[in-house]
Amino acid sequence: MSDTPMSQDDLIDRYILGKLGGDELAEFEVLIIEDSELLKEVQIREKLIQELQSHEHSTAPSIASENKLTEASTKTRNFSAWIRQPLSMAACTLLILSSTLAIQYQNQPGAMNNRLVPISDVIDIGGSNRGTELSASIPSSDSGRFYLRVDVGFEGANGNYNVFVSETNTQDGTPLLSTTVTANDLGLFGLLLEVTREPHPQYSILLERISSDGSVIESETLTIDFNVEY
Amino acid sequence: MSESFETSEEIVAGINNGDREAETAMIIKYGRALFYILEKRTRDKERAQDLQHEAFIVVLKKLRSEPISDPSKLAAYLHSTAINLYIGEVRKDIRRNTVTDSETIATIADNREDQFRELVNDRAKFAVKKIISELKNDRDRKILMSYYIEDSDKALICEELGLSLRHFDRVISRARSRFKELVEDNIEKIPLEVTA
Repeated sequence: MSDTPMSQDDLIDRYILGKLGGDELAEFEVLIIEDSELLKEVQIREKLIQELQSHEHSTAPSIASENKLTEASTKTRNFSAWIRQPLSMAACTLLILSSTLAIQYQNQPGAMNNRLVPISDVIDIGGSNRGTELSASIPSSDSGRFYLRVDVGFEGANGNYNVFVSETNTQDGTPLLSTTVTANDLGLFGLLLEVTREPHPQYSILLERISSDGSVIESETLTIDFNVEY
Repeated sequence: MSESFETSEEIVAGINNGDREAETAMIIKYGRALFYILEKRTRDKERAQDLQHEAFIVVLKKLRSEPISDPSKLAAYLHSTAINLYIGEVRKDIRRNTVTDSETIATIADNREDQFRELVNDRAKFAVKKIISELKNDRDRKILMSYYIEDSDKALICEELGLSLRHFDRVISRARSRFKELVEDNIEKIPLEVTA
């Protein structure tokens, strides 16, 4: 295949992870067309990455079932690297949002035909040392339900978490969800939230990492804003 | 006696001479990869298929009328044709009605593609589970996940986990080669010759 296998391996990874662009991308794609062995290598590597993603999601506890949605009907996409850069400059106590975010739209409640909205439609996300704010924009659309999946937790801190979810600008503060979940080895767990059709909804997620006796070790509050009316 | 159409030069000359076998050879040689690239860009199998067919038709028409100046660049010519069609479609967002003038295109390219995917898929889940179970510790698992799932930078991962680039490369390289090894047997079973 190549005299510099590591170099080609890295190129394959960069191609699959969408890190090649411009001439570099075109040149690599021409190589794939010319070399059937390279195509096989690329496809095998892509499958490795897909299966790793699938494996990771299947091992992460999720409350998705409470929303009557199956994992298969939810498109997820990793974006931790995206938010990680600004957060990495802060203290190690930063909350790391990680892994996946997916917004699902259904034409009507209970309808079978779903349209998936990609992560690229989320336009902004920012953070501070102890409070991380996430702003998301959903394109205008027909009436229907939207679901937001977000994997949260304290990086590397597995164990139990208390989770409280509230809709802050339309509710009286009573949590929509109050539960205890167990994070995976990376300290993450998935939440699947149904987003209401109220104008500019804002959700607040309070995370409390708790010890075996139930005492709170650390906590963090996330707010999720949708800056368009839909 | 049929001629050999293995190299791009032979294919280009054959098509220019009106040899249908040369056209089939081009589709077999480049079809899978072209489809893969287009599907990756469009994220839509049917759309990728349409673009692939259209690219072949454009290139075939061109080659039938006159050979390209540098036949060794046939792959690059196919690529630029396909990508230009894709870009044009994205820009104009028009609905195409592609009429295929070669019925062999779909049969040849797609049959092989589907077999390949099925065979890889059959083994992939098992292979990943095995790779993860074979990792020596949580840190190695985290290396793999951070790099491929969280899309983190290699240097950042090493810094965070306090390990050397060498160790990182070893873990990633081992996972890549082990995965390939675990699915390779099936992949080799893909038929090299496909009859349309």
